[in-house]
Amino acid sequence: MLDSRARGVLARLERATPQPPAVSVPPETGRFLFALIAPHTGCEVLELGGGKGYSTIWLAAGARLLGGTVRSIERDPEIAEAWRENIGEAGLEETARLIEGDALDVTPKLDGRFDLVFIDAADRFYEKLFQLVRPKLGVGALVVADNVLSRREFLAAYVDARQADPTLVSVTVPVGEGLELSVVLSETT
Amino acid sequence: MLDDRVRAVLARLEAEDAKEREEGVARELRARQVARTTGQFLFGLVAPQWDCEVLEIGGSRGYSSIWLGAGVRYFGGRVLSLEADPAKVEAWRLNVAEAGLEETVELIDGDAFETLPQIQDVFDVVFIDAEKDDYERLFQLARDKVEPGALFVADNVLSHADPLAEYSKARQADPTLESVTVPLDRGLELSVVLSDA
Repeated sequence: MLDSRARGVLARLERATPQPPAVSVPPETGRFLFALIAPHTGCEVLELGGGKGYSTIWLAAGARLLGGTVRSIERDPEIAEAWRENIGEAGLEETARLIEGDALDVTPKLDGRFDLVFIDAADRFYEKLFQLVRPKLGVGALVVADNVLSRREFLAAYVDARQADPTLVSVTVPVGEGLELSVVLSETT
Repeated sequence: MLDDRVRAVLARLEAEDAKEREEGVARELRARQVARTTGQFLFGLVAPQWDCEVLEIGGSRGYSSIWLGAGVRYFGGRVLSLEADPAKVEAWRLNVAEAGLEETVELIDGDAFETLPQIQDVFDVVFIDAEKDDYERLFQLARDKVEPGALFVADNVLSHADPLAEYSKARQADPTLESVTVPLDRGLELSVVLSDA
């Protein structure tokens, strides 16, 4: 649900500067993520780079509609604190859980499989993070990577690798800072 | 599944579309199919969903129906496609059969304003790719055939901002929806249903 509590926190976070880095993604990217997740039943989401929780709120509000959950990884303790406050205020603590730590260490240890992975981390880690998460994805899973247009010079290699991979269908969606949307077609790479 | 049969038909339709544009075939006679990247995007939207029931308004010769059908087939979904033009209906049937998707994708032949009100099903995704002046009425006709969590996807909202900017504006102002314009290819308006109308 996108209820008034969740909307209230989103509006507060957007108020100062409704663009990154004040919020982790622009509002249109938030809406897009919400639309992508909302139709899925029991959608298990992994967010690599939770920030202060702005994108997490969109993801969790979408997942909650049909019984999904979000696990979000954030390394910075101060940002993690802000994440907890914002998620609590949005009433989403039952849906979204924070894992504090470095995504490169934490991701391999995560249990279970994911239906959607949102990557919004430092450019240089995208490829490694994708490789770490790949064994946890079944057919039909989606990987969404942010900033592929705004940081094209650093992320073009990530995009090219996904679009050349015969086990995926991958397309660049020019919403917000550019999202690479990759659907998993078969289990193994 | 995006198997070899599906990929072969998609590639042929892309080549035919490019040729028609090159030869300057009149707009109303062309397939006017979505761009390949929009096809991939539609595939990405539906492939993760369980038992995804798709309504496509404007099937044309089947290019987008094939992307949608290949996507929903992973987890037991289905596509119902509406098309009125007899020449396109004929091509649609041949293309969908050649792609091996006749079990997944079904065509309803006729004017959507007549056929749509007769359909009793509930849909998870509604893809609108029809005459631009008809979008608003088609949306209204499909609105009671969806539940919270369903998604409307309307094509051409940027390429045909006149008249479709009004469509986007109305969706974005509707408190029962959350709606965003995705500037991919000709522009897609993506509207999630939050509550019953």
